[in-house]
Amino acid sequence: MDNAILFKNVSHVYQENTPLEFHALEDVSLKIKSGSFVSIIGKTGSGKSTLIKHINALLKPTSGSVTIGDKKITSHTNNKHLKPLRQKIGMVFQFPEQQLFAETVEEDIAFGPSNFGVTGDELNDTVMHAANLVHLDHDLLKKSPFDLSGGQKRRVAIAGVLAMNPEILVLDEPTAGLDLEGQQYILDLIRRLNREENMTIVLVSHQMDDVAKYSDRVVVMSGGKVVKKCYPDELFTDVNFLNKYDLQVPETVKITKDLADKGVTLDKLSLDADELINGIINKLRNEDKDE
Amino acid sequence: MNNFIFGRYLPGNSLIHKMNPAAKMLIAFAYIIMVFFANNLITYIVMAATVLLFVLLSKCSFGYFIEGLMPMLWVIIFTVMIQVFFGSGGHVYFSWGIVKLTSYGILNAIVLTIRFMLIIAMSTVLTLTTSPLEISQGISALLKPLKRFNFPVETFSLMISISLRFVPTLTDETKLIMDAQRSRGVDFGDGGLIKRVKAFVPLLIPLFVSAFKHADDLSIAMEARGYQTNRERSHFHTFKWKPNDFVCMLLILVMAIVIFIYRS
Ligand SMILES: Nc1ncnc2c1ncn2[C@@H]1O[C@H](COP(=O)(O)OP(=O)(O)OP(=O)(O)O)[C@@H](O)[C@H]1O
Ligand SMILES: [Mg+2]
Repeated sequence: MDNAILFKNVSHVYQENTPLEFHALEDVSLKIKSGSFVSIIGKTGSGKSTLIKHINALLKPTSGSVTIGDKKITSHTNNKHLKPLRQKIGMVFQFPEQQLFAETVEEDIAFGPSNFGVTGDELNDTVMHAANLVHLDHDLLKKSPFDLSGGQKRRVAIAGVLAMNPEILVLDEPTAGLDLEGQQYILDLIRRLNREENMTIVLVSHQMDDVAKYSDRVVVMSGGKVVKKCYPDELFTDVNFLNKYDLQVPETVKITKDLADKGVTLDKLSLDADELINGIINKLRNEDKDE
Repeated sequence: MNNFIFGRYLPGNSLIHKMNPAAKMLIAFAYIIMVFFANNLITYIVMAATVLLFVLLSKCSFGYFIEGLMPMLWVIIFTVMIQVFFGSGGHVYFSWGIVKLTSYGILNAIVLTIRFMLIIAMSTVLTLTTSPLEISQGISALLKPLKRFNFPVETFSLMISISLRFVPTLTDETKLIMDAQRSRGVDFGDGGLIKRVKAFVPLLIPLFVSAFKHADDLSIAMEARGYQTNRERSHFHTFKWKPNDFVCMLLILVMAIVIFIYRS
């Protein structure tokens, strides 16, 4: 089914008509194709979280409209009848472990699907499937979520979202505060969900290396506006643009550039570290042959 | 809910905003007491004129004062109803069982409404122009004299400022957790009473967990920095008594004298 996300001239004003009024989004238009992996980047306060909260109608546009599949959300949309939309969209917020509350890990993972009417064996299967997806030890399922380590809690929280079987997965800095291995694990999981289950991924991230490596498309935000929508290689080779918006240059791009400055031009730009290493090795081999 | 008591503060630069919080609280307190001494047309006009002056000086638009009235509206209506229908004395216009419509009842209802409005307007001036932190500092300044009677003023005011300090933090966390649970299919404020109460469990448990965690972290941080109970503490923002504080307090004093002269 096509679940494209379409923002049409969306503006959002916090605390409208008070002196604290704040225009967090201004005239944002954006299309996210079904099944794609899109990263949203931008400085802190640029409106990324505000943008993604529109995807499952936690926030409604002050003006303009957001369409997900065939459901259109405007400022007049009623708060009722949002359940089907919310089921379709998994939201992983920053520090999602804050949402844990149930007595056991198992119950917490089951919370989402049971709210959407899944029961009995089906519920059990869903919980097990989600736990397997995040590689959660089965002995942990009967434990209290509050007795787990930080990284384990994060996995439980993500499993709780995946258990809803979403078609679109929206993540707001899901790797913040994890060790390198934990970060890798979660990003690889997201990529797997994107490729194998054809889940649409919307990722908010400050880690340019990850954005460069994983995403199909990048959306750059600044001051509540979308300032660029493009392919990652297009964005990350434009160093002037990156500097202008205070975005880091990924290590892979830096290395490629340093090599070029020293006279070694690689055949193509690789944004994935492993690919880059292979590229360099090939280059060295070829040069050996030439001599 | 957001607009009630907390988060009503409107940052601003007016004369009233810049007043010493302790002076503002004294003024509001004195004013509210004086409301109960006013008892005829002249005194009520003086009271209303005074609060109007403060409202104008605060430079906050009237809309906020109307909004401040809203949460109290039902209380006012309820009290007025009781006065109108069960008050006794004076000319009886209408009577049915214990329900009586009398001239005194109606008069009382009008007086009550006026008093409510005056009190709400004055306290709204206070809460609109004073940040929670300033309120806590005002309270501790006013409590200082109690130290003589071994009242733990320092501890008490620290308690107030810590609580106020965490109101915005917990509000933010509440919003975040609500968003997360909504995304997992919770409908806050939908369905019958039991369903609604149940919906709050996934909100309250994470909130308590996080409140305890904040308390834990804070106590460790305070201990690490050598906090001891009931020692005199200094403040980053100190409030001096400025001329406008005295002018406003004088104004209230004059108002009080006028009211004592003209009340019947
Ligand atoms: N409830 C609110 N009321 C008023 N202003 C708000 C509210 N929530 C966010 N804002 C403001 O809107 C702007 C955008 O906030 P948002 O959370 O979308 O930024 P962000 O891009 O996600 O930043 P970060 O990278 O730090 O998470 C910020 O300047 C913020 O102060
Ligand atoms: Mg954010």
